[in-house]
Amino acid sequence: MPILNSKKVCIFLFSLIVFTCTSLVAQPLLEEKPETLQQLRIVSLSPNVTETIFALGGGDLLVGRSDFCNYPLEVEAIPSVGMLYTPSLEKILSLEPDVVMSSTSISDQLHESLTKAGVEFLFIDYEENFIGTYTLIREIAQRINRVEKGELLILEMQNKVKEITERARLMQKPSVYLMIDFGSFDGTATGDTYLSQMLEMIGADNIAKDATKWTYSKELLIEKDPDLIIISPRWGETFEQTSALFASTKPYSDLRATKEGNLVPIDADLISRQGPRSAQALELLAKAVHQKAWL
Amino acid sequence: MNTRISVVLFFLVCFLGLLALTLGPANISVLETIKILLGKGELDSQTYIIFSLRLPRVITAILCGAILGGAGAVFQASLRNPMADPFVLGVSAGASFGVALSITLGFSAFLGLPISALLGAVCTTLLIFLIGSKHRVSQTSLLLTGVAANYILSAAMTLLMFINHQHYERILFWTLGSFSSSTWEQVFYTFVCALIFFIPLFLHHKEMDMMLLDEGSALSGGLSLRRMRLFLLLLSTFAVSTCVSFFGVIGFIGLMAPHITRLLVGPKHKKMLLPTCLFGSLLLLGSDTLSRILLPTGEMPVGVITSLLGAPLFIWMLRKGRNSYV
Repeated sequence: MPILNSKKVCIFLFSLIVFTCTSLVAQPLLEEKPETLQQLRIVSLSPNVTETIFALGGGDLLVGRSDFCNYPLEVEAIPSVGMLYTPSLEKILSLEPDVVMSSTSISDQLHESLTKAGVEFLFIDYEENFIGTYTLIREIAQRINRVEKGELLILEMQNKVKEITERARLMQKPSVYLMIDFGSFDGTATGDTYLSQMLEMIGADNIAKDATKWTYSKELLIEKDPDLIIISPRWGETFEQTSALFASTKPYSDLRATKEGNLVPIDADLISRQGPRSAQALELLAKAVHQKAWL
Repeated sequence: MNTRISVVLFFLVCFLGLLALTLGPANISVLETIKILLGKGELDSQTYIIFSLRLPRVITAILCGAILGGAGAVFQASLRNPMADPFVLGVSAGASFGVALSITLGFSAFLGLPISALLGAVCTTLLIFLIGSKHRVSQTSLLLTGVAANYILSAAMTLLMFINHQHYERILFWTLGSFSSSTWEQVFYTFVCALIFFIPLFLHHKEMDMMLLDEGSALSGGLSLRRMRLFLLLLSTFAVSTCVSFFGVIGFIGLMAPHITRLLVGPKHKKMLLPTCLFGSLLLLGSDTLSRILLPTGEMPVGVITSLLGAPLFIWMLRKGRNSYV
């Protein structure tokens, strides 16, 4: 009897072990399986789309990005498929995405090749204003099934924008020039751009509001002689490098703002991307323009 | 005839220069411009615009135009080819490649852009000279060599821009050309460069005529032609590369100016050199003024306008088969 008893105990113990092991192993599998089956694989070709996906909590869906996607820091772990306009088709396909998203149009050939390979291409078109930014967020939220989170994010942004514009209305209106490029070609936020709208919203008088197509002329810059110059560091340069070059180049060195040291930095990526950080960008711009008065 | 044309051209350049001073995005009337020039300007900003932005620009355009026109004449005589010009043959592209390379490698500070431009241009000129003067080459093969040189250099430039996107726009500027950021410093350097170029050029007008003769007659004239050719070619390469390092590549002035002048005064260099230079100034000043006023607030690269003017002439010359001098 005692033998039988110990046999029973052995069998019992063995089955117990097997059961715990299988349940331990099976548990996550059972839980995860439906999700892995459904989990989208996304390649984003635009920095603002990448930012939006992360802001909606969908960072783990991203399997590929462009060279220019640099925010948030987690994107560095995601493989890049190349540049904005010339991504590598091979690299994209090797990542086996379900959908490729972009806010800038891609070439027809690339679009066709993606469709042929059975990959969906989602081109997100939006207006160049805050309403457009909300459209972008809403569209992405819908595609990745995070509608509620998207609406919450939009509401948050709307409140912040409202707060900023109302505060700015009560402040003085300094004349401002937003320097994007200088030297042989003067690049600025002209009246037809989203950046110029942002400047108006925060109560700045953009001297280039009558110009179009991102270009301005030195003559008008000298004539209007703004109170403040916002410097967006040029590609590959820091604010210190760009502003030092700007301040030592004629005719910019003779501008009132340069002489009085009214050159303020702004993060070029932050202000140029329409996305979840746009409200934050607006606030930074307001701080840069109104400085102490804003604090 | 010769002096009369030069005088007319000189006054045209002066007139256009004064006119260009009154034109631009900032609205300054003719009357106000005259007041400012006489030192009676009322607004500081307008005085600044006239004296620090427009005047240096007008002067550099005049000097550069003269240099490019003269260099065109030298290239055409030295290579005995009326279609030759530093732009068409890729010498300007060589200079801009030198500039782009030194920007990319970060040498721009201590080597200086003019020196790297000169190195790039001299290499291209030597290549053209070796091909163009060793044995008689047909006009087409010389031009095709230029086309090939242009292709290679532009591919290399694209490669440089591709590797370094952060320098993309600065490199792109050298391929288009613009006088928008002219300063008095550049006026000074361009003027010195023009003097170094023009004095020997005007002294050697006879030799340039000899170069146009066939090799046999030139040798019997007792002239060491090959050396003189190389000297004049390198001299104009130096002048052109300096212009490129400051203002970028500006095409076709060196082709248009000598060609039109030759139609007016004939091929003798004594007669045609001065009007050619003046004509170059007139063309470039006109193009630059257009580039300033065509867009209401921004600016167009001047190279675009000179190419729009020059390329049709180039095609017309090819079709007409202007293989020989008028």
